[in-house]
Amino acid sequence: MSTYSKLKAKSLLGLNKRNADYILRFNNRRDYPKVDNKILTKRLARAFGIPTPPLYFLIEAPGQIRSFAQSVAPYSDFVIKPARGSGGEGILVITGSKAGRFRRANGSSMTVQDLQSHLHNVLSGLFSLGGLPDTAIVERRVIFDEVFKDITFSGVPDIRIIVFFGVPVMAMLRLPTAMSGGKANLHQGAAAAGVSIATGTTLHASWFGEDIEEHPDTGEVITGRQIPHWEHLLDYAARAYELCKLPYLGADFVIDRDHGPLLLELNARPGLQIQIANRIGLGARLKTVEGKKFELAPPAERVRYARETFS
Amino acid sequence: MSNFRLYILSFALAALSIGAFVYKAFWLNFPIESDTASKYWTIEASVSFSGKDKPVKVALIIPRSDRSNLVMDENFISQGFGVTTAQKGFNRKATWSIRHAKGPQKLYYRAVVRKIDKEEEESFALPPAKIPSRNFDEANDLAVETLIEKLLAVSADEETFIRVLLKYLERPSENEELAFVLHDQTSKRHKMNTAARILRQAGIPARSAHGLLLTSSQRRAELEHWIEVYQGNKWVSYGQRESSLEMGDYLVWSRGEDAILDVIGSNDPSFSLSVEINNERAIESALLRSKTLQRFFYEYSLSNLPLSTQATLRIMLSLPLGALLIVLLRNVVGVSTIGTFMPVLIGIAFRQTQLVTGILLFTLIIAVGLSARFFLEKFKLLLIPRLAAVLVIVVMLIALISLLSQKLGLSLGISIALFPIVILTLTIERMCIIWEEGKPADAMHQCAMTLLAAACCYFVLGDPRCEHLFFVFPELNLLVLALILPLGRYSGYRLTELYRFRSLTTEKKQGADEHV
Repeated sequence: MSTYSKLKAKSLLGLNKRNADYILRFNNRRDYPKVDNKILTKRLARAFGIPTPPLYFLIEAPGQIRSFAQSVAPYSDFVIKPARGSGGEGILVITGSKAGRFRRANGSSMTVQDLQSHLHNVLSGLFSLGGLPDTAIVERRVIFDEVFKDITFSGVPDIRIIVFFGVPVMAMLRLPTAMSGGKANLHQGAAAAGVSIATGTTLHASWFGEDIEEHPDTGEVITGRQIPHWEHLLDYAARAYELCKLPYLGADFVIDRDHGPLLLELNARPGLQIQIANRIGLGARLKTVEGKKFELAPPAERVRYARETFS
Repeated sequence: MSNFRLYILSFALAALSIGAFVYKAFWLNFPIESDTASKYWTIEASVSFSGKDKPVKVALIIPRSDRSNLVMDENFISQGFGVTTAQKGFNRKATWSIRHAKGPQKLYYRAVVRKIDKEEEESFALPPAKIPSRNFDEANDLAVETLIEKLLAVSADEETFIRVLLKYLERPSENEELAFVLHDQTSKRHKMNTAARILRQAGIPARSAHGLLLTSSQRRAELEHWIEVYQGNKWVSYGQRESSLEMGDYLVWSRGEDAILDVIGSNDPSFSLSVEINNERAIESALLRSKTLQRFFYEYSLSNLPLSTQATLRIMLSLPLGALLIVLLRNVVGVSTIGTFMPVLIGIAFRQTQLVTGILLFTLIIAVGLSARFFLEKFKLLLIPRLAAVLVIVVMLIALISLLSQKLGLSLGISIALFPIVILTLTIERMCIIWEEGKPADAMHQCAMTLLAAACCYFVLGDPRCEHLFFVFPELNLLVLALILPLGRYSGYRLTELYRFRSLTTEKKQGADEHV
């Protein structure tokens, strides 16, 4: 059997099919700003009862950059992210400051000037989609739940859930590695574990498209782990559909030590690596949901259906 | 449903395109292959200057029929000017005149030149012409006499005398007398004029000649210069650039020392020449019998446009094919490139520089630009000024390469100016960002893929047959469109995805497929 037909048999979703038959067909461009602009997402999330990391302040004009040190003084740690950033680019996590130097999550340190230069880059649109001028968000740093500490190398692990017409269809846990530099971005070398929709336990793991059992840096077993607050995560993911009305959607969450699951961002063009982590294609699951008018059902019912249908 | 309608549309476009192509190619005999040994050439000289509301007289030497070329279908395009032509010495001169010329003016001379076959050539043999004796002034006279003495000492006969003189002219600085006579003017035109004078001083009937090489279409053609010597009842040419070429490949534009262009009443005249293979003439006989529909195709052929516009259109009309290639490379193969259509533009630039030189130049520009960009990183510049700074560096670099290549005798000249400068700048910025994020391998990979895609475009678009085909049959672009449309609905796997998702194909250990 050729590779092509083997992948077809696994109902693997390719980029062309994702774009042509799902994103272009179902996702309405009018709804994109709700997910592309993280400030808007945050505001809407609050309205729909989905918790997000608390906002400290926004930097909208270059003039505000000069007084950045004063603005940020009340906070010992914080995160700077571009409102329209994509793929985790331009996100700066500061874990503490001492004598005018800011310590980053990856251990390096930055001066106020370095931070200001970074903010200038954010505002001029270096990290934003299409290079448009952007706004910088300064928000509370997520102190992640200790539960995945042994399978994470610096940075914050996050959970991606693909939601189709409001039904969570596939999920994965993304684990930063030394290679990914603390980022939960698979392109940059983070490891990924497929998660059972029914139970919230990790099933398989992959790294750079190859199967693995243990975390490449810590050596701890990744599979068979229970994700805490799974019930809530599925509920928030299902409700994210009401928030933006995008039928094909990726929702990214982190689990905060004190506040539980928080929505980090939504994605109208979620990637396809989730299929490698789960060792199964998205195609069949999307077909199961398509055309059943689930978007009319309440979120709780959609979650129940998902847990019954997808293991 | 919508897919079905798309296929219908695509099929209709393809049918229309192929239909028009077949009709033109097989009923109207439009040439499918470009005929580089073409007998017919269109030449165009354009003169531009600005008028100052005063009388202006423009005298331009124009070619005349001779033993190797027949000049026909002459056109003098000008607004409000009176035109006369006259024979003057060896040359034909066209004179445009006007009482009041105001603002920028442009005059065109266009003609179709037919090459005369060898057999016909004899009938065009010209009787020996009188040589004007325009000798050197007294100061130069002595130097010329000394030079002739020297030449006689190292030559055996008239022919070797001429060849040695031409050889000396290649390096005039090594010969004191020659350098003196040339007055430090090293243009080929001046050298050949001087050579003819020296030969006449030595009693050999000679004249300089200036003309165009008719071997390939050129948007900006340069005049070549050589000398003609009257030997054994005919004029023999010496000193043309490529001696292997037959003299029949040249069109003589003017002979002797008369200035090609002389404008009275304006002080900023400029002059340019272009040469284009004329395909219409080759099919004209078929069209003489033409009916109205056929005449429509002929009259609305792109070949009737001004030559400089044609050259631009040639490049433009091959772009869609490049775009189709990019669609295939990105959506079917799955290659990721920097900038969507940048590889097409680079591929077109490669056409001028040739592939290997092009790749080297591209790599050089990117490498130097990147180093400059890394250096600028220290200053934490804002985005737009930083891009502008890199742009300046790229422009300077291209200027420098042009200069160096000229000095080294590589004729890259204008060609590298075709590199899309702004896009190069953005490429450098993009690569630098990827690099800084700790992924130099990614940056190199994307750059290499871009070059690969550019090379693919070069091989397809760089083929003169392909360019010719799309120019003579622009309707073929509808076929390209007909192919692009259904590709827009292609939802199969990309080739690279077969590798990317390879781990899903390996049949798995226990319990892999238990869940759906």
